[in-house]
Amino acid sequence: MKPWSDEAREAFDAYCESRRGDLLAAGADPDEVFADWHAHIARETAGLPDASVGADDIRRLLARLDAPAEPAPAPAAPVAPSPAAPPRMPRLSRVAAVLVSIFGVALPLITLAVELATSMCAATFFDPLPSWVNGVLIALVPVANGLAVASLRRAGRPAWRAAGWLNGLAISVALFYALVFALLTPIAVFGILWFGLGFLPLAPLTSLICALALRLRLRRAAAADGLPPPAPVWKTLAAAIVLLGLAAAPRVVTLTGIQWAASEDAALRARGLRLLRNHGSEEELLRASYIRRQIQVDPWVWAFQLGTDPVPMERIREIYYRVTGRPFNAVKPPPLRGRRGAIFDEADWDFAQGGEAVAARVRGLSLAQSRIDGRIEAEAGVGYLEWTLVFRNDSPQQREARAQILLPPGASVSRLTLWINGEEREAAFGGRSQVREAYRNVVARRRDPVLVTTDGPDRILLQCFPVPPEGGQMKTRIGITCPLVVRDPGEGLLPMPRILERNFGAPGALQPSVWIDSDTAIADAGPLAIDRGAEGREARGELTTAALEDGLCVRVRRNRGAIASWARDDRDPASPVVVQQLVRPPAGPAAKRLAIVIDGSTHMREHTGELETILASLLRAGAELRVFFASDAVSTSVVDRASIPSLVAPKRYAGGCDNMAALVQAWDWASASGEGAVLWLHATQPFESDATESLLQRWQRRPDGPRIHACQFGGGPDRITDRLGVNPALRPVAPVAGPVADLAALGGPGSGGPTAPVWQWSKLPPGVPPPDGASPASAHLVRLWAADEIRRLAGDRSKGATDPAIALARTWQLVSAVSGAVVLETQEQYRQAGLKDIDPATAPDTIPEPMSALLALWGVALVFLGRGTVRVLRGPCVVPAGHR
Amino acid sequence: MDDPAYLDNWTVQIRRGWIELCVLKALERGERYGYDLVRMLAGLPGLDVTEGTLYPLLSRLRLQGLVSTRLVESAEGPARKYYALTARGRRTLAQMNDHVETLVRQVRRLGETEDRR
Repeated sequence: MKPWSDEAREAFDAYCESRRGDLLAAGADPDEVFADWHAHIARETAGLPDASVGADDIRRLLARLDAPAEPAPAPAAPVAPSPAAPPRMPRLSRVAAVLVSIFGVALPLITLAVELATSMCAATFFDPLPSWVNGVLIALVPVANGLAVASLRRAGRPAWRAAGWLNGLAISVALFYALVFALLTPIAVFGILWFGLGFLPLAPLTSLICALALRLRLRRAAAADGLPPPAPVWKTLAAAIVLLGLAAAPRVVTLTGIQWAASEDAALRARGLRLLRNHGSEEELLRASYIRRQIQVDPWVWAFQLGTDPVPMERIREIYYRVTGRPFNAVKPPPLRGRRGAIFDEADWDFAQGGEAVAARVRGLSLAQSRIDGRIEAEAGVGYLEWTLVFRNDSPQQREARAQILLPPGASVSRLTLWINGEEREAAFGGRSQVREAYRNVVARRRDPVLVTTDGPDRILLQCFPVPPEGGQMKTRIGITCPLVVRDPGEGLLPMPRILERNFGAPGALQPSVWIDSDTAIADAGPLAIDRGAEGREARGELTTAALEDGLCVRVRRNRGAIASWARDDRDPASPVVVQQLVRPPAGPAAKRLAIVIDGSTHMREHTGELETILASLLRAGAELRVFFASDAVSTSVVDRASIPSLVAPKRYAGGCDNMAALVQAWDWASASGEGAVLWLHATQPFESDATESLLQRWQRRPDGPRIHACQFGGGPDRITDRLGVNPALRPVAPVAGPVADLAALGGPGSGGPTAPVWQWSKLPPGVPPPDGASPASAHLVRLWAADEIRRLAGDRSKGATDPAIALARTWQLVSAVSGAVVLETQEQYRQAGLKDIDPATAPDTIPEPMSALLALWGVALVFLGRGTVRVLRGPCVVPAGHR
Repeated sequence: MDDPAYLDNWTVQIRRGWIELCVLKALERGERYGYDLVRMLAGLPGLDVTEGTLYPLLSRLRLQGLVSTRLVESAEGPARKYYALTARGRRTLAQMNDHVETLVRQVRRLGETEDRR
């Protein structure tokens, strides 16, 4: 468009103003007509040779326009705006623009920023931002108001269409949130009146008022300028609902999957699991595993929840495992932003406090330090480990730290220490229910106890309370007495204890430290450095945090002839000599049928190579093999060499699978032969199955039926072994050097082949000296004898049979199936609980106790003074070649 | 009677109603760019209407809801304003057409009646 000279502009304006009255009288909109004339003249002058338009051009063209004073009489038909009050170039006044900028732009923006930064509303009332789409829609409200102000204030109406559309959207969103916040409005008004605070909850309402006022102005301006009016609100409302629906889709799909997966109908349950595995949101599922109830702002989710019954949280946690293959507490709890608006959030409330389950991860609780000190008496076949754990609590409430810990095979907790006000306090040992009751009582009064009880074979449950809030720490130490695992008499193995399940975090930068001494050279200690300067008898270093759960095994060299050791029981003067001897159990009969149950859970996908190796080695044993693959349904296959790769193919694993149906089928098949066995190769099993009773019934009715050898791959809890492991029909394979090596040490379950030697303990009659060549050992050997004796006594079901077991556990300060350890804060608490804390001098230590040289002298004296012969131990002795 | 002033006055009287009919009729088959519409109507023989008359008329028709407008951005200059009939305008045009046809038919019939007599 050619530029107009000032004179031309003045001539045009003067002409227009002279015609305004005529045009009004004619029922026209003068401003619109002026704009039309302006555009018409611009078009006409486009063809003129001059570079700019002068006043003469304008006058000439205006004359040609020949606009009459009265173009046409207005008919009597209804006229939209009255000619007497025509729309006048509506421009937003400065005051109105400032008000809208404050209450329609700044206030909603500040409110959104505050909520995003602090989750103030989410933590107190409900989550106004359940998805990022909600956040974007809310952010569009101040943008829309600002754009409308700019468009109305500036000449040329910039971004007119966008301003119209966004205004409709802003009204829709602000109206929705004004309704949602309606309950808070009186509180906000009260807060403003009394404290001068409380503007934030009013932001939706003020934004709505501003958007409505702007809409009125936009409509009038559109009419005046011949511009398109703002988009209808119903259209923008529909767009907002569709956008919210898209954002809510993953949540709705996940909630639908949860409903289906929790159904009583097996087919629907399977469909729900498939839906969740393929299309569900793992984060949503995890959130549902922690949050008991959540006030929903999202209309789609709210509408969905209206029509459904809530699924119990325990069920959702099981569904999480069935979908992902991981226990819900094996991963970090969902972040605060992801759980906004939660009420009864498990991560905050810890409903399992003082109970017997590890349960949900607790927010703010973490393992701050970990240190393992150990001493191995390799020739004696004894080890002692002390694991010191420091918990830190960054939350504002007191917390209980809980962990299920897997001990080395055959180990017992023989010491428990708690630091109270910087001083070490030793535990009292007593009956399991007695110490648990004492712990519960003290937890209820929020004082300082720590409790250790057994939780399945070679498993303990550690509970510490209270870890003080706001960065407070709690330090505890567990002493573990364990026999060395000796698969070859020339080598001893000591697997470190590891965490199976925990309710606290373990930061990646933790660097747990380990320091192991041995009285012989250490052959291998994994990532630990072996100090060659100490004749290779020390291994130390820092581990990764993952090693706390993955485990570590230390190998020490032994004299192959060291098959027996002895120690003095100084707490039983009448019969003071305890002997530990290595024996090889007789090989069991070769099974005619071997049923192999393979867990179809996701974790097993990482172990297909090991599974192939195991199946191939079992095939060589000659038994009839059949695989029962436990996925969502059980599939059965005969094993031959060619089929092995397809039987364990990675694509077969999905989610977390219930293995019980496969175990029952496998047991039935194996038992049909009369000489059958079951090998169960599985990953973590964090939930008990409903079919447990079916298996128990079979074991009770057929106690001589097939044994189930359970071999776990990887870490994590195993509730089935926790529950059924006390039954001799289930034989957990102790995790020492990996599943392949551990199964080989068994000689192959049901193969009838030779198995690895095991320790046996006995007490010699009074005055009988220890056997020739037996190595003197520390009192830990006596603790191992006591632990074995307690197991034997505890297995006797006759009335009162457990009393001697508890007494022995008290004497030797051992945690067992019938006893536990608890540290209380005061003597009064011990007295009330009927317990007595131990004399610290009797607690074991990583310093050798008592000195081996003194023991050796004592043994020599017994040989010279003693009478009678060495008692013959049960089972055949392991005598290496050259020692017979 | 051969009085030009009288005839001019009579055609002005007649033209007033016809202009609106012509505007609506010109939009019957679809929307039109305002400038083209005005140039076309201004050049219509017998209608004797100027651009200056047509723009106020179009403004009034829009305010009355008989036509609607929309702006289309133009690379050559200011946004172009397009006019289109509204539903109400379409109904009004149909009524006007009926009225004109009836009127013309009656006028012609008057002449035929006189001839028969």
